[in-house]
Amino acid sequence: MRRAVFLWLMAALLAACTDLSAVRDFAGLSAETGAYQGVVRTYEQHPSRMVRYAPSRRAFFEAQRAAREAQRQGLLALQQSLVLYMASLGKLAADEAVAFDTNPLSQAAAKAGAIDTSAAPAVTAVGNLLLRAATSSWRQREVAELIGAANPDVQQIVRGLRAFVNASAAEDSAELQAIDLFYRGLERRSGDPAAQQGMREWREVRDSEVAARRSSREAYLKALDAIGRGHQLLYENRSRLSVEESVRQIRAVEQELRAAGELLRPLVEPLVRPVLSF
Amino acid sequence: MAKDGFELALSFDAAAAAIKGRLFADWDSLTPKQRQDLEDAFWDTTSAAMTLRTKTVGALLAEAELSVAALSAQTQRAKEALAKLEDVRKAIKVATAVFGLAATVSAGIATGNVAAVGAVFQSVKALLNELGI
Repeated sequence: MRRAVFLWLMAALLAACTDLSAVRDFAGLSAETGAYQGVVRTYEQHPSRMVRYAPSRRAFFEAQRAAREAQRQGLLALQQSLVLYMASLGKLAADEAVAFDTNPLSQAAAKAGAIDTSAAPAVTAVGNLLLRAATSSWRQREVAELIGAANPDVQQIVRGLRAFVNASAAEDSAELQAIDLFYRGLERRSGDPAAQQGMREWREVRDSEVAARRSSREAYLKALDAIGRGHQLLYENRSRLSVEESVRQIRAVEQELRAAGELLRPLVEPLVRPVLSF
Repeated sequence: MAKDGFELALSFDAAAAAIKGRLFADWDSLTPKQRQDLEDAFWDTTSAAMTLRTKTVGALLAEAELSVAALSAQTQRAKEALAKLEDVRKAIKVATAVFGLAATVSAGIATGNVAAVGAVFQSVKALLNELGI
């Protein structure tokens, strides 16, 4: 009987020591939520939307849109690096191995560097870590080492994404100003009450489109914020990830991330999901 | 570097909004040409702000020995002037000057040559001083 109790206690202790399900779940949710591409599309397509309000400047806006094509690739590369890292962290936390033959983020680093020179070294460093995790057969026992080594670069990547998302947010105001100029100008020039009413109604439609994009962007910013804070928490508690208090804090951030992610989940591109299959 | 460009772009957006505000405030008293001038200045300044966001700007501004803060400060002065100036012709002059600064900065970024930015910056400053702003 005593032996049975002892074995039961040992099993419980062993399970508690190696239970990184909070890390696994947070990382998995971060990978899924971080993949939302809508804000990148909004940023790239802003010049195309502005053509509507100043058609005589189409050539300029088209040139801007083309220039942003390269930025789109860089932004997606930053996202890819965050998604791949979090997916890998989740696997290791679940005591699974990751498999890479070369630095999986070398191309992403080059693309990310095109939009932010400080991003390329961070993405390269994360890729090198993932390669090391693969070639050294890291598993759950190396999770703390991965988090410790990766945190500065993960925070750099999150900051880079936040900077561009905030820039995109600033263009909401510019678009609203353009909408106001266009429709109010048409209304002033028209003497026809019916036409004026029509302009006002169209303006409401355009304003609501901007509001919808803003709402999605704010959810993504909250997600990025939670991802950054959550990984910082993992970093600060990396020597005690399965301790109750650490688990409680990680689960709390996971809940925030889940709330932000609920708004984005239907919008996450299915094309991004193959990144998680490795 | 990207952060500097975004901050400056915000300043130009605010200036463009002030130009638009002036356009509609004086709409009934403006000639069609004056309305077009202000509208063009709005779009030119908005376009320059968009260009700034598309390009990183910090290193180039350092070459021109101008800080983002200095450029933003003059743009803010111009924005305030647009609301205060009673004479709409002077307001159009300010609006044109703001666009000129924004366009010179963004052209400098595009070509890698910011030599002209300093001179245009000084001329905007001089205009605002002359107008007593």
